[in-house]
Amino acid sequence: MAIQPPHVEDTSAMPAGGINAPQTSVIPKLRTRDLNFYYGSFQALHNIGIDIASRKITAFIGPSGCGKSTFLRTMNRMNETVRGTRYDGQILLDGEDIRKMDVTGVRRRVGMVFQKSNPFPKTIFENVAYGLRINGAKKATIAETVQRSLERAALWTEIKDKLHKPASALSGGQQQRLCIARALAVEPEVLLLDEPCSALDPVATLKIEELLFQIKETTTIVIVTHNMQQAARLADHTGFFLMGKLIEFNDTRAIFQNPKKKETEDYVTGRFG
Amino acid sequence: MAATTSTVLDRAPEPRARGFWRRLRAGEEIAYLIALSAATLVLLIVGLLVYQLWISSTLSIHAFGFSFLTGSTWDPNAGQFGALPFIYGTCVTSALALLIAVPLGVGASIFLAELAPPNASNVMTFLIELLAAVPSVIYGLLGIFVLVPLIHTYLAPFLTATFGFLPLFQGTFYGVSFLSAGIILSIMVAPFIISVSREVLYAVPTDQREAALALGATKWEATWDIVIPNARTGIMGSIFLALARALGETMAVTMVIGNTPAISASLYSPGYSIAAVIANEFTEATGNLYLSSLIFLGLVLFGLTIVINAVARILILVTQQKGAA
Ligand SMILES: Nc1ncnc2c1ncn2[C@@H]1O[C@H](COP(=O)(O)OP(=O)(O)OP(=O)(O)O)[C@@H](O)[C@H]1O
Ligand SMILES: [Mg+2]
Repeated sequence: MAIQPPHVEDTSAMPAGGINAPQTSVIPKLRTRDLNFYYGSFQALHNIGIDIASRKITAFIGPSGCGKSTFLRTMNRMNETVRGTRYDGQILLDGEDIRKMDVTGVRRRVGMVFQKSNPFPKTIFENVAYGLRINGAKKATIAETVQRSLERAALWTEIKDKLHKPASALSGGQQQRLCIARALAVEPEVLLLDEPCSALDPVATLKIEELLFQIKETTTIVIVTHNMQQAARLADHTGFFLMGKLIEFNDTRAIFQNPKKKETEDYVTGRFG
Repeated sequence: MAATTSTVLDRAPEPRARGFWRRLRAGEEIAYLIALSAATLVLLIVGLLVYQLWISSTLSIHAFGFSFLTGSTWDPNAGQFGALPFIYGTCVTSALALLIAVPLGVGASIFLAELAPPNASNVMTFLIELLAAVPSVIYGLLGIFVLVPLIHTYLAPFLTATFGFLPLFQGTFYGVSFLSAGIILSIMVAPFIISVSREVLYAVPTDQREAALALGATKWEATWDIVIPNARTGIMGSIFLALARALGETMAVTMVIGNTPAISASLYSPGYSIAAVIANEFTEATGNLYLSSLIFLGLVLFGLTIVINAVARILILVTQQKGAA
């Protein structure tokens, strides 16, 4: 596991971009500065400045269409695959501008789990092994890493006899956990999850939440969720997006119990819209 | 059909007939009947076709039986009819055509779907699809006046020099030959592969590409490892379409293959194909046995198409299970 050496900058504990940053923030893993994102002429993100703490869970909430997915997808440069998009400002991973880094390297370090589970049309084993293979893992270590990743994703016991069956034979919840295992296999330093539980039942959701709690020890987690309880349960820090702006970003408890902005309060108390 | 059953189950049990009429009015039963009769009609037409071919070729079937397939003499004057040279010619030219058109077509479709900017891709695809609409007699002329001279001056000397140790490329290149027919066919069938495969690649969900990219795959790795396996069935379908076209292509082949019922290992030699011989000799077929033998050839071509398709499908099934897709 690539645990970063404590790499502390002078500014690292300072609030980001004038927005209320979590006071407990120690080492930011990811930070953005004046991030503006455009789909063609439509500006989807406005001046986002944020420090995402290392090895913590950061949640983003906000109404549909406010730019949560867009924000998540700029952090592993996935939006660059969408034609007609552009952004300005900075996104720093361990203090380094990701735009200046090799794009496949960024994506290997910043993993992503999508809203809709998207296993490859391969076997369960090959789904998890794929990332290892393309990143040049040694043959001998692959089986072991696949097992460990499936165990971490709380899927191993359910499927250990079906490893070489097609992934499409799994249930929706199992497929999503498979996608998490696939992302974990390459040991990303940051894991971005876009509404990973939106298609899951409460039991499967709980399993994934437990799993996130566990991997938080080694991995920085950023999760987008529509489920306020989930954000409250899981996250150390929570950010509230509205119309492409990061309205408020703070400790989760502060966001839910003592929001500073009217919009945040309306949203978390369900008075929104 | 599932919808039909659920409708039945949803409602309180009622007399069968009344349920039918109610559903008929609801339109479901009508849609079902229309679809069913369309499907039946297709089967019926195929059945009639085979039946007619069979009836008209009984004379030849009785005269030669299985040896028709293995006989290599085609001598109408002597009343000797053997189909092997034509079967050979059809198979060789079609195989050659696929050998060239598959990598070319799949490669082009990958470029058009994954790499080219959408506007350029659309324009190019439009032009390529135009190629599919060119009459085959034009391809024949193209073959005679453009392709054959080109092969003669550039390709054949190169092949002889490089692969001359293979029996495939020995002897003298006269122009009309298996090689010319195969190349013309490949040009004719490639557009099918390209345009169908491109659509299939487009239909692969973006989230599959993104899943691969998110793991640190390069664009090429994502395309090759993930997008293509996703599209595999459809790409195979496009190849079948191309194969069917190649097996049955008549005009262009007959213009460049040489129309000589001979079996030769060399691709430089002239040959003949089933479709070509039927077209060439049908009008001048004197005598019932001659005519009947030509129709028997048609039946053989039909059978050949089915067998080759079946074998290809089984091959795919086997490889798919190995890869456990
Ligand atoms: N590919 C695209 N092209 C153009 N506009 C887009 C594209 N994707 C998203 N948008 C726009 O950008 C804005 C933000 O979209 P985004 O998907 O980030 O919202 P979101 O917060 O994730 O919403 P949801 O909760 O519904 O997933 C929306 O107004 C949307 O219409
Ligand atoms: Mg979203």
